[in-house]
Amino acid sequence: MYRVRLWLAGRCALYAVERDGVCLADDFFALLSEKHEGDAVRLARFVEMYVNEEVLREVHLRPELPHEGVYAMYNHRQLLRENYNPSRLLCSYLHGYNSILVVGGGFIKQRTEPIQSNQEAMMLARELSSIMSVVNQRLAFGQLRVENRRLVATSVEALIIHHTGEINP
Amino acid sequence: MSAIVRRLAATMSKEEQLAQDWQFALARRVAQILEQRSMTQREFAQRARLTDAQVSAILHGGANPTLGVLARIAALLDVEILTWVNSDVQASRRRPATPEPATRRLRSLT
Repeated sequence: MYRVRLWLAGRCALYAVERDGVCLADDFFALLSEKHEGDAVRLARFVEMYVNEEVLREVHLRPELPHEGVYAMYNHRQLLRENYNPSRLLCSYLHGYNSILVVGGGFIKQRTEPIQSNQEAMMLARELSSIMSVVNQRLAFGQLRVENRRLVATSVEALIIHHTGEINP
Repeated sequence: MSAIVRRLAATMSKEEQLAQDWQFALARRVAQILEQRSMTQREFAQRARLTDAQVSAILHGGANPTLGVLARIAALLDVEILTWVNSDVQASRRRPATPEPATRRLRSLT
């Protein structure tokens, strides 16, 4: 079972996906901070700054699977001798709004691979894409609405997505 | 709210915070100007004599541009880019109402 919940709020809002009670984004930060602490710190602060922007500009994100609406917040950092930025936190826009993003899981990129050759990353990206199609559909049908840059559910169930028949990552 | 994000972000050193603030303020300002002028990233790169990778780094808030690069951007866009970036950073930073204990101790010694 999936649930979408408010994750970080500023002038804009970021919602996170919970899978069976586990917040995928928090889980990713815990893993990243174990393996690349500096990158985790930098990405965390980027996320905090980004959510306080007037609008969540796409140019600050990395297109991961843009045709499926999946982007990534990442830790871009130019180093003198290498340009390796391992952190990728997947996210997707709420349809029609540039002030609300839903973040899914994240992955640690290896030095040379594109997302397409990382099975786990692809699974996470498709999972987020599937969740977003349900969320966007509910938005279109009025089960969810946006008020003051926040997602408002008309019922408790509106932010819950069950496996069966809805998600096929 | 995400406790882990808040906790991790709070551990960044002041020096790194300031650098990231400048980088993101530059990213925001360049993005705003390109939007206002309907200029593509490619066009901006060509006219400012930057590589696509340099423009991408700037817009993703991770660039460490030289003063020469900043001067080219300022001249091309005809904006006081450094002034804007610095005013953005100053506006967003919360200054402590009272000096930190270490600062107070230092002052008491001088």
